[in-house]
Amino acid sequence: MTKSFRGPMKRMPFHRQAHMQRGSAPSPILSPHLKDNVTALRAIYSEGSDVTFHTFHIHQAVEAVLIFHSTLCDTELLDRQILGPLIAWNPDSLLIDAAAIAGILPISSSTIVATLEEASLSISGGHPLLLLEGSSCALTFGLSKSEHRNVEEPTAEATLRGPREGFTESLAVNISLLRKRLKNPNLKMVSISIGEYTRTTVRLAYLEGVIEPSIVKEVMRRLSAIETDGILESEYIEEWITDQPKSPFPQMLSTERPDVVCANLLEGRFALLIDGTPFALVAPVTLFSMLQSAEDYYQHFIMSVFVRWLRYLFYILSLLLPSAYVAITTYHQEMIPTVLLLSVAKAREEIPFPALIEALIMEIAFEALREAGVRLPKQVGAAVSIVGALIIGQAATSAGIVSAPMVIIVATTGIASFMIPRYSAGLASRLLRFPIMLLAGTLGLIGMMLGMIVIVIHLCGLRSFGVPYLSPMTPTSSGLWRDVFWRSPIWANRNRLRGRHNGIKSGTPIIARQSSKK
Amino acid sequence: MTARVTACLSRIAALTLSLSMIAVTLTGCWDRTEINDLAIVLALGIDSPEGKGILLSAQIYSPRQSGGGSPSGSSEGTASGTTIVKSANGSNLAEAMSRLQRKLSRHVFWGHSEAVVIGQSAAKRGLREYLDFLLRYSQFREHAYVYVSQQPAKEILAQLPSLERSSAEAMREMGIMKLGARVTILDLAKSIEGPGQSAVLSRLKIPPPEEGKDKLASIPYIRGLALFKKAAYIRTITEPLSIGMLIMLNQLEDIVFSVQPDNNSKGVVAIKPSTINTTLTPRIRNGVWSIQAHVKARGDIVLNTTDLSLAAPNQVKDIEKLWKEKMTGIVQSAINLAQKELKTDFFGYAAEFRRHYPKQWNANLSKWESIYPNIETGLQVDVLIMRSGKSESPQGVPDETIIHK
Repeated sequence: MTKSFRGPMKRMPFHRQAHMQRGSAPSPILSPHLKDNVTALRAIYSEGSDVTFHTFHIHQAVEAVLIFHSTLCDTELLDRQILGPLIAWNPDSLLIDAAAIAGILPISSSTIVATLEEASLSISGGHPLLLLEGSSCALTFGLSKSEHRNVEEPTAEATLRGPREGFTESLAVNISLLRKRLKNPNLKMVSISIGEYTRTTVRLAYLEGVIEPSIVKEVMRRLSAIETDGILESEYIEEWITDQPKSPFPQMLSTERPDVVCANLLEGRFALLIDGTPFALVAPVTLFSMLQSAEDYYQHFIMSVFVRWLRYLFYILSLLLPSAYVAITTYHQEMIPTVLLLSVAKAREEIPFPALIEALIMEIAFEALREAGVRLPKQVGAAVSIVGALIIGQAATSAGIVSAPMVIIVATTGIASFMIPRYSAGLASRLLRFPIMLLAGTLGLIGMMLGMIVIVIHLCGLRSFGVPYLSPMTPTSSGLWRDVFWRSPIWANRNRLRGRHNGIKSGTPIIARQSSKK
Repeated sequence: MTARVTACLSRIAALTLSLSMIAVTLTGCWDRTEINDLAIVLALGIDSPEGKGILLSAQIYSPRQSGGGSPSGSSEGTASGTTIVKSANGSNLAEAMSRLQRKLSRHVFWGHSEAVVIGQSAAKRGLREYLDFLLRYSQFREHAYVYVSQQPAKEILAQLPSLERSSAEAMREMGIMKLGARVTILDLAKSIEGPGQSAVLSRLKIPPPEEGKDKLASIPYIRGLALFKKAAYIRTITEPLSIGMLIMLNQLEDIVFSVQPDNNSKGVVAIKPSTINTTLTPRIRNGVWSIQAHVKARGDIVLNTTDLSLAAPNQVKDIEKLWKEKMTGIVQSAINLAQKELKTDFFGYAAEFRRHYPKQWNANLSKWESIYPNIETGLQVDVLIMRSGKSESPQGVPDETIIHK
């Protein structure tokens, strides 16, 4: 993080000052005098800074200064490709400028900067800056170097069959993973940097000719409206730009799989790649796309249809099962088959709590266990959750505090919520389970239905970048059902985006045609 | 959705949630009943001791399984002990029910009564009161099976059969298996209120306990049929008359017919029917009302103690003929009983006429009582023996004694 403690404007970064000044006066440009520039930059990187100012002479005549973060740039390459050639260079005249130097250095990436702001940005970004005596331009080199881990298998979205590559924290690696899969010049990656302090690079990726252009415009508008100090994870961006940030239902899909991003780009969606996090954001999404897994397309389609329906069923179960149990056992006993009721009655006989309280205790305990298991180190986590589950399941039942049917219900609900392929989509059902349980416990099935109605109304009003959240159910576009209620074979999927870029308009998906409302 | 609607909705949602939150703490405001607070009634029995008032008995599931006491207070160990019987008196059913509730510390929950047993004493009072109550009071199930019992209904309910969870369960299973007439509360009401104005109910009997066994441990079984005319009990019939009745009602499933071939009086051939299907075809010709009853039976030979080998087709034909005669006789006697003796339309003749000849039916509605006994019932019985069993010749006899043709 850039630090600048100067005068009364304490704790305010240089960039923001520059930004503020932009309205009244232009950002200070570099002066032709080397000393002035160095003084100005030294003032920015004064205390507690690890910026190196290396002064040398080109051909023992022209004074030059290289300014760089030794930790952020490749110093070995800097010495070899820049410092060495420059010292050894024998220019024709001593009136050398930045452009001329860029021409003689054996380095592919170099940029000329003219203002102090640009200069400091490039230094903070890890790009070495070369200042010359007598030149009002500086030169930066793309020699930044940062530590990043290797491409590994995504842990949160494992598949049995399918690519094992996952995004990493490095944006460059992620872009290369995408480009490797989509070898098409229409894959556009617009760069935008967000965050006053972090200056995080965000890449908006989309397939030109496939995506509805108004969506791109809208995303850019929302992205540029973000005013924040830092972007550390994709959620920071998601909360800024989603249509209804207060909804528990995620309106953007976060994934660490490049193949998922590619598939969505091909379907006319856009993706946001954010530097420093392996999670990419994809939108516009619908509720049904949140319940789909990449594996649906990597397995035989009949199997995928089965699994998909299983998932829908268990999504509903994860939301409603405890509530249904509470409602039916406390208000509608006649609905239970007789033999089952007798078994439940026998199991519940010694239980001191009402069914609602019992369900709340168990659900909260389960959520706590789950959260504990997630936060603990991998090796301990599994053990703790198993022991916890055993203790709650076994001991509580035998102690007569919780009935065995309730344990079954809670366990089934737990399994059901694990079946949801997107963690963020599962959060909504985990959260909404509790209010519905309260409604079921006080009003019975009517309460449960009221809760459901409120949720459905909410979902009907929800939009993700202009696309209704429940589409293609409401509004109905039955042509897209083949990828929602079942998964037709890949070859039968007419949902292909037959190149709009070729001038053929038919075949573009409705999902991309919905214009943004905001 | 506009922002205003969203805001309004979220306000409603917040209000509902906070109200239910408050309700959770104010437990007195709920009308919930936990399962722990229920006395689940599995079967109810209706008696009328000495013909006065009603004695309502309820078989209640006891989840504690600590061995339910018997209603008579006898303290012998019981067979399974998962149910107890409680009963209460009253001048009518509703009164008896409210008195029963006062005797119990839990809410009596009738929603799971699988069986209704009407004691013979109560059946003689007529079914109207019971039917009205069972179909009006919201908790009863319309698809509970109805039985009449020879002994007081309370005794039937007090049985704790070792085979089933409860005697209610046993009665339900017997109803499903069609061991007698399968009649639910709704069927009963429909058949009494329908054009036939009659009902046939299975009759339960408790067998005497085996020696050394608990007298409560026996399973009530279906023996005979109770006949009702316009909700009034008229007669009990037993085999073979009841078999004929069930055949005409198209309700017979599990039975074995034995026939004795004439030329060989030493043994019998037993036939187990796989299907028995009866169709009634009404006909009005020249003002003469008639019904053609067609009984189609198919069955397998399950026992052969004669010397016939049964391999020859003519032998099987002979047996078929005997079986046909036997069935015709049984069914004809049932028809005679219904038409001539009791003059009650148990078999649904009226419904058939109403369906096929609505005009004539409506015109003669008032005269039905006099028409019915004079309807000519033509009976045709077709039987077919499908299989002669695993063995073709009789087993356990020397080969030379077997008659091969």
